[in-house]
Amino acid sequence: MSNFTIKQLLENAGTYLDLKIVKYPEGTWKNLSNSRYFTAGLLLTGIESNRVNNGIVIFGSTEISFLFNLSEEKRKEALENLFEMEPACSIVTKQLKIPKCLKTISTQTKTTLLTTSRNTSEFIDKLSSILEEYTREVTRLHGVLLDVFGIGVLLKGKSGIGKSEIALDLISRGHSLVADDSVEIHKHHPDVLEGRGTPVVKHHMEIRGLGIISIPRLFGPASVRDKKKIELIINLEKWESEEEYERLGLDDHSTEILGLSVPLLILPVRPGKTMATIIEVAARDRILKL
Amino acid sequence: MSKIHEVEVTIKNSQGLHARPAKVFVENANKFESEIEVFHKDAIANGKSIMSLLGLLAFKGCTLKITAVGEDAAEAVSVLAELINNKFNLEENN
Repeated sequence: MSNFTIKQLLENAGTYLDLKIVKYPEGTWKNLSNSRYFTAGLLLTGIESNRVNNGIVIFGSTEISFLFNLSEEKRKEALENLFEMEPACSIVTKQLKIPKCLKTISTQTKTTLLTTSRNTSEFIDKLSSILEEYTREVTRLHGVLLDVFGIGVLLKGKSGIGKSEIALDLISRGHSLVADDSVEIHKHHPDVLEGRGTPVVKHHMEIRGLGIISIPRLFGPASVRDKKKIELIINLEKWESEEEYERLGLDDHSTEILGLSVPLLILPVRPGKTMATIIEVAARDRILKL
Repeated sequence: MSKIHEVEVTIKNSQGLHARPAKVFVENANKFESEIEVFHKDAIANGKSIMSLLGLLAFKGCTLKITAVGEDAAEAVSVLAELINNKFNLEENN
């Protein structure tokens, strides 16, 4: 998300990170578009990095005692150098005593200054998980996501091909539904794609001829899951007699979602074929290949 | 690739895009070959799926953007926009 601001960070995670405002520039909240954080560390010695821009700079006890050990003039110079790189905000951990000139320069450069009671390593740990959550890439795909033998299988294909019916068949065999029709896909670092359903219509399905049905009410609570890692994509296609389908299973096909490669199978659908069995076997085969 | 056709419409019927209007919308959308998507705020829905449209939480007064890609895209967006403007051709009881 490109418009994640410090204000949102405070509102959403202020209590969790135990953040308190010391100084904040009136009116404007800088955008954390960078979503990186740095410990002030060597940046105080005049080392320059263009990656600090719009990021978060953390002052731990090492940095603070380093600053206090400098002469007043040197301290000012060190901080000026750092703030020239335009961080979005700076955070002092462990509620350490904040040098006066850090407050002054924050006001001058209109940079937010925050403090937390947590110690540096704990704080960084929590902060990075929060930044990851708010800045991770999300996309949406049409399809049905199921958990088949523990493998997250995403069924894709044109509307009317029978995705929902095949999914229903798999659910009645004891597999669980994650999302029908519209799957929200989150990318977790470094290489996990997690699928979820749309909150409002979650775990309902539209089956032609039956109408809208609630899966957990019909099949019990174990028939649904909230989220699942996507490990296999199955593209359902109308059987075309001229088309050549995989016969040996020696070549691995894949497709890309949010820059990550996911194994792909193309299955032709024909009346009278039990797709559920084929998909179960595909999931078993996937487990073998893991 | 064919051109993307799009149109913005405001929902006029008092109930918004609930189950019955969604059904009418999908029935009409399915008459076209084009891929149809409906946008409301941050949410995107498949124009050919009732469940997906219900997930948009679109009430009266909400502005939807309908996009279509395909050979009959231009016709699809105009027909669907017309449908929303006509309150989904459903009679309102109140």
